[in-house]
Amino acid sequence: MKIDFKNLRLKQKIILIAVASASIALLPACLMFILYERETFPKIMLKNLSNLAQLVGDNSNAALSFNDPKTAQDILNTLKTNPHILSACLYDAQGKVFARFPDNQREIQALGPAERVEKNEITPLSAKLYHVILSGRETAGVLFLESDMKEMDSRVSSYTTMTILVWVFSFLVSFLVASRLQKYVSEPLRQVVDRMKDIARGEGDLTKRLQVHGTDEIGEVSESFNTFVGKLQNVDEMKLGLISVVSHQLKTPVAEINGYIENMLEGVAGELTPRQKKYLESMKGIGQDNYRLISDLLSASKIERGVIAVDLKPVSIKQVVEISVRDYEASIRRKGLSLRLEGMDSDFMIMADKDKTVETLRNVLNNALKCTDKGTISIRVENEPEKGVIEVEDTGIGMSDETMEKLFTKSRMLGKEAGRAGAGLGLYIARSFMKLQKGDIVVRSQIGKGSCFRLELPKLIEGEGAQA
Amino acid sequence: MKRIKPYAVLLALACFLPARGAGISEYSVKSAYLFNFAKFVGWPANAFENEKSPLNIGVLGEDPFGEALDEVVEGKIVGQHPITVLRFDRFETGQAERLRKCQILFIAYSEKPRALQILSSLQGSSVLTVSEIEKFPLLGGMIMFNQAGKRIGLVVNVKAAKKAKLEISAKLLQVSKIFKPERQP
Repeated sequence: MKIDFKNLRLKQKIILIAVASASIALLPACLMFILYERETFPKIMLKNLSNLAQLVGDNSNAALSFNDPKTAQDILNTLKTNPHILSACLYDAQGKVFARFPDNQREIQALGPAERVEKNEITPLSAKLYHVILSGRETAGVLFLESDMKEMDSRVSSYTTMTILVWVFSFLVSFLVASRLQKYVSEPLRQVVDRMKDIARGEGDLTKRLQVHGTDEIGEVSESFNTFVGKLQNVDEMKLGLISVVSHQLKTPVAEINGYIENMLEGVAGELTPRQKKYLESMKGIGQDNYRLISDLLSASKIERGVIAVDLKPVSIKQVVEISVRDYEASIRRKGLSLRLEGMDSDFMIMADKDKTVETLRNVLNNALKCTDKGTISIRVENEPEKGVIEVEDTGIGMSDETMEKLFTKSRMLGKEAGRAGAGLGLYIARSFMKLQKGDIVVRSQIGKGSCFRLELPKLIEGEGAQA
Repeated sequence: MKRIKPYAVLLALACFLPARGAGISEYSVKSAYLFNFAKFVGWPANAFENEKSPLNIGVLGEDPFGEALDEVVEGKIVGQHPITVLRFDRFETGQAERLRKCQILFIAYSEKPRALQILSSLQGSSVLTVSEIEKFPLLGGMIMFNQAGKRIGLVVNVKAAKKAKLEISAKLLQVSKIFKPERQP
């Protein structure tokens, strides 16, 4: 299993580091534990074997001194209570076999004079010990004991099992502890990251601040990030303020210029040559676009600053549609498109801010007109149980899902579509207006086939309109 | 060749038997036993003149050991007591005081007729009496060599030893028969 450490989440990295260091730190300790046991146990074992030999030898002393092999045999037979003793042999002072255990063993060689000394030998399978039995100052005989190593094997294996258990346990404990503690590092950092992503997407609320946990590096990052957001907020407010002031200052002069152009076109300033008239027509168009752009900017800045107010009153849905369509009928026909009105035979009341609803609908119609080069623009009024619906459908260029996703946000303001759709603030304002009126605006579209915008507004509930 | 063979066998046997006999003869074993008693019997402190005075092994009567006993005890020390061998040809009443200086007294078979007399003369002393005279424990002796098959066994009269303030080691008793007066005929 290969772990791509670089791309692990911080949470996983912290857990991995904690678990790895705990395991690695414990490993030498565990190994030492086992090695120490392997080293010391044979010594302990020999010591025990030597003690046993001393005891048995001491007991056999008289039997050797007074030539009593039967008693010696009885003494050796007591060794059967020790399951680890494989064999034992008692030699007399001359090295001849005097008694042995188990007593049905094969022939045993006598000990030569050189072999009648204290000695021991450890092999992986057995431990052998020769013990010289003294009677006073003389050698009474030699006792040979052979023990198996099962005790050591079982001890080493139980120590190994224990060590592995300790290791696994510490692994789990460090995993649990790290899993619980890691959030103190990763959680604040994740909050910072989430906020950064929100703001980068343009969705974050710049007035909100991160909660700062502690004064460590993460605390510093949060602190710095808050400072950064604060500055961003200032810039944003400055921008809104600037837009608000500039658009407000520009709106009246542009309206006045448009008025003069209108007057001139109507011949108030005297007869116009066809060429003058043509130029003034162009100026009128540019002036109207400018006015709309400035109005949009002003509305957007008001929405952003939250200073916009709606005036909800019972309004005739038919009237709203008629007012909105009036300005566009000529333009639609001039472009060679047909205009179809549906569901206009019956009228009903909705609760809405008339001006803002009209502005929204005009905005949608304006877009439909711009994006459609041939075919029909249909306006449909639907009377649903709780809401009134106005749908505007065109047979224009349509749009991609990606575009639809960002359609009602202000981030489109400087996007690619901006060229075709003015400042691109129209639909952002439209959605804001609809939301303020407790309504909504949605869109469905298909590239090459056209788009359909659907405006929904709450209907007037009986008895409510009387007061309003 | 065929005529020589029986002689050769006889010759070989003749050489073999004495050689073997010299190695583990009955009396060299008994000599070793006499010496070993010194290790398995405890004497009261007043049995010795001082801590380093010799531990005397006396042989009373016709000495069956010959050199064997001297070889066994030569240079040996038990506790702090060097071992010496004292020999007495035959028992005489005046000897009692000298016999009492022995810690171990072997009463030879030749003294059988005087055994009771010898034992009674040792009353009140701490002398370990050893003999191969039959029914020695019954007479009041303490240890009897008892030929039991190949092995030379021991019969111990614990009561007599206790009376003489001797402590016979449990290990020695383990390899001995204990004399019980009631059962003896």
